[in-house]
Amino acid sequence: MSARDDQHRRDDELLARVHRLPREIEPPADLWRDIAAALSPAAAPRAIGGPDRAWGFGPGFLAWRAHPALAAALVLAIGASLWLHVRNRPGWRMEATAGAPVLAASTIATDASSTARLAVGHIGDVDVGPGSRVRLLAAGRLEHRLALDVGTIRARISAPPRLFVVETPSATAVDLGCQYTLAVDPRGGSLIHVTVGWVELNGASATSVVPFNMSAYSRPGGAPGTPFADHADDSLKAALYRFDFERGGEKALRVVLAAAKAPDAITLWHLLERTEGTARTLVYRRLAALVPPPGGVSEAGVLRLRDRDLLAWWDALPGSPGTLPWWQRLAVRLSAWLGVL
Amino acid sequence: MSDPLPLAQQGDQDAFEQLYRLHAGRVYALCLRMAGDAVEARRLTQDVFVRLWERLRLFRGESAFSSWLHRLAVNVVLADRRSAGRRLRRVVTATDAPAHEGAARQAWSPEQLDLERAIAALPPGARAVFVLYDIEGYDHQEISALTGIAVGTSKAQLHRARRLLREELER
Repeated sequence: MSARDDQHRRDDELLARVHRLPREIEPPADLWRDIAAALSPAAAPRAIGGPDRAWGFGPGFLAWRAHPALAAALVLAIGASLWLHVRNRPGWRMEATAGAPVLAASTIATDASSTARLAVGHIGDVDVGPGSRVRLLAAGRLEHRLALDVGTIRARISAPPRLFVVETPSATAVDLGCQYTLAVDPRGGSLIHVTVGWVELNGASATSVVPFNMSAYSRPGGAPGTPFADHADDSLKAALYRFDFERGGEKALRVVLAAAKAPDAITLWHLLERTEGTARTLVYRRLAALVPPPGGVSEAGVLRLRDRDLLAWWDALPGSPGTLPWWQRLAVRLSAWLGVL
Repeated sequence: MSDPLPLAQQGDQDAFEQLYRLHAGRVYALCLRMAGDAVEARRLTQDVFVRLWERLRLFRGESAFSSWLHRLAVNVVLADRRSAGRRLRRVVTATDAPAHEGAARQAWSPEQLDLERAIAALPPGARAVFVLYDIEGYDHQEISALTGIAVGTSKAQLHRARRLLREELER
């Protein structure tokens, strides 16, 4: 028997075993309870989760919880969060801030000379710019959701993450406790600019996490663009756009890498999972030159997109929550919760 | 039992629970095999059904509901795989549970359990292609369209997955 025949035989044996696997696997018995709670605003409110890693409360958090003042601050923060959660009465309230915006059938439309302000329950507000169309999709204790079809909004949300969601034709912006401006052009493309906190941008095939002082484009039907820093080099921004949306390939990628500086590390980190093969190796080398990977992070692990390695590196990047001093993380978190920013 | 789908499409949560009971096993199996761990599979299954609740009224009956739901589940899982947000969320999930802990009540042969464990241990890219091709029946063109990888890459990942599985199972 030739080696090829032998391999076919062994493949057949493997596939025979695969086909005997059950088509269904019984899920955990209590899973429906969690799903039902997530579906129904009337159901018991979801327990407030532990501190969110996106704000930097990682394993290091345990090291300083022994400080009485910090413990008190944490108790205060949790209390404030619970209070905000409880007082989060669902609903929208619109007021005209210029001209005569139209509110009809849960849709707000502004013309070139009108603007509006939308109160989002008690968790924040949204300014609707001129020439915009906004649809109000859902208002519940667990989520306020609207759609921005065209135009511009500026959102200021002071609430635990994931309570406020904006759909656009090209991506869905999930608030992680923040302020941002989101613009949608008539073809459905969008640009988000985050000024406080973080926004998770979900597209058809991927997700970007956009931190404060960064922006990201999106185009319908594709992955949201790679986040870029406000102060990034113009050549980087242009090449990144070509890479994300105009099939710029390795040529555009090389321009991005050449122009990247340490504050662009978050951009390069996102590019690791948007590239393959030698291109990913190029991204790895440039990122490693700008921000050396922390101990325990291996090149092989990063190139295989192993979560453990990517997360450890993420935490070491300039501007990532993991690099902020504890008091700054706490201040940002408290500010987001209490709405004082 | 009457078909719960029309009522669920009108927002009836009891009917939606019936739909869940009918289809959760298939969705959970997909999520568990694609994710390779039970904690992730639980979260993904929840995401799939929450997404289903949001999109149910869009189902027009142009294909079998089970096929439509299956495609929705595959899209949710694949989008999550590429998600940077997933990486951020993972650090706050509990310690990974054994891959088939949730299926303890199910009767598994030692041979099946060995194979499931070997699949769970595959590298993520190879595991995704193997599950989609050899278990779920997608072809390489469809996998390419779903995942964004080239057809050749899909074939190479499948070859690699089968080789790794054979080596693991023959050890």
